[in-house]
Amino acid sequence: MTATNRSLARVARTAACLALIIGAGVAEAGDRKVYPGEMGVKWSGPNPVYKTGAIGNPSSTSWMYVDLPVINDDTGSGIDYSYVAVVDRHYSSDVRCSINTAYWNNTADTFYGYWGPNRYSTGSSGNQQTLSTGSASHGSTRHEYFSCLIPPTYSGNVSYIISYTVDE
Amino acid sequence: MSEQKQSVRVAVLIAATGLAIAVGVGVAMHRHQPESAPPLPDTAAADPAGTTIPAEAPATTIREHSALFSSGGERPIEARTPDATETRLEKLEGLVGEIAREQRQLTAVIARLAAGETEAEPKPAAPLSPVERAQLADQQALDQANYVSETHLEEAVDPDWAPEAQESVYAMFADEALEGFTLTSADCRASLCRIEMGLDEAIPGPEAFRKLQQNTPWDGAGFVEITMDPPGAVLYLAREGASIPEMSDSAE
Repeated sequence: MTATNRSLARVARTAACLALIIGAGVAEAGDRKVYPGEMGVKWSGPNPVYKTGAIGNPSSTSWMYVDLPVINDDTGSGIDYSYVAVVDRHYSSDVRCSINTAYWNNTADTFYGYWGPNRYSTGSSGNQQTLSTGSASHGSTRHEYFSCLIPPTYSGNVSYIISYTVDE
Repeated sequence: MSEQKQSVRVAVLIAATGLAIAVGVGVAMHRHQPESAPPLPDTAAADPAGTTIPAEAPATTIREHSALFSSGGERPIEARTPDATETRLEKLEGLVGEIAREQRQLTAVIARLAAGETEAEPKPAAPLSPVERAQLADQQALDQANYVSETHLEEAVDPDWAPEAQESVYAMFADEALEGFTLTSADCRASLCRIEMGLDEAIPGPEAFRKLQQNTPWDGAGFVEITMDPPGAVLYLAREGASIPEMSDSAE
């Protein structure tokens, strides 16, 4: 094989590799969004504190119940995977989260709801932990949210939900 | 927006054409090499690495030498018989023909796009009206509920789990946290429990959903169908580690 042929073959090989890489990238591109924990809405318990985009429970005695809303902007698809980033600073209690979906069927006057298995943080530290809350594809036109519990403070240390991520 | 899309389409088509040309030229150059290859250098001095391949070297030796010079991502050159090479070249010629045909089609499309014409695209389906969309969504929700129900019915009873799970369900409804919920039946099988209940009229659907989720006897996924008239609910609670059956998007 001459030097010219080798060069041409290399060019062809490189072009093919580039095409494969670009094609794979396009095929894998989902709709992934990371939301700040601060978007969470407390529905029961003490008033939250907010810190650099995170939502925390400042109470030394009460648990805080929080819903984390998700924007479903790919109504033709379910949630492929989801997770919540938390900081658990309580010695013995954990942050708990699940992925939920809900739908009203007006024709039948029926409410449909799904919750995923609860996921818990472990231990107690200032480091971020990730709770993998899984997938949810129970109908493509419902709305979605996370349901979380944040434990009270321990020795003044506040536990937080930092952010949450959904890939549709 | 359509101009932007058209620009992207042209760029993709140009890239595809370039790729086709590169592959086609590479293959064609390989095919039209002279019948008699130039002789290999016969002295070690000509080879800076100090390795020489004898003219009549067995295939394994050639592969070994090839491996010495190939980088990590390249496959060593294998010795082939003339018949195998000819067959391979015929296949490659067929591929080149296909590439050339596709290249001509792409060139024609690019010329049309450059001239301002738009590619004939299939007519998009008419968008659903709000009523049709609601009907479709209702049907999807109903289908999902039926799918979970059917999956539960197909399950066998796991004697190691089902009786204990049912006891836990009875205890769940005995708790005052679920005041206004009346257990009608509980049917646990291998990975799912079907729990049917009556509801106090004063408990709205979303609140019932929330209370059920907060008071499950184990950390399993749940799917609940709450009817308003008459007020009642059917909850499917998955065994720990199991999941609620999901209809795939394509099946919806």
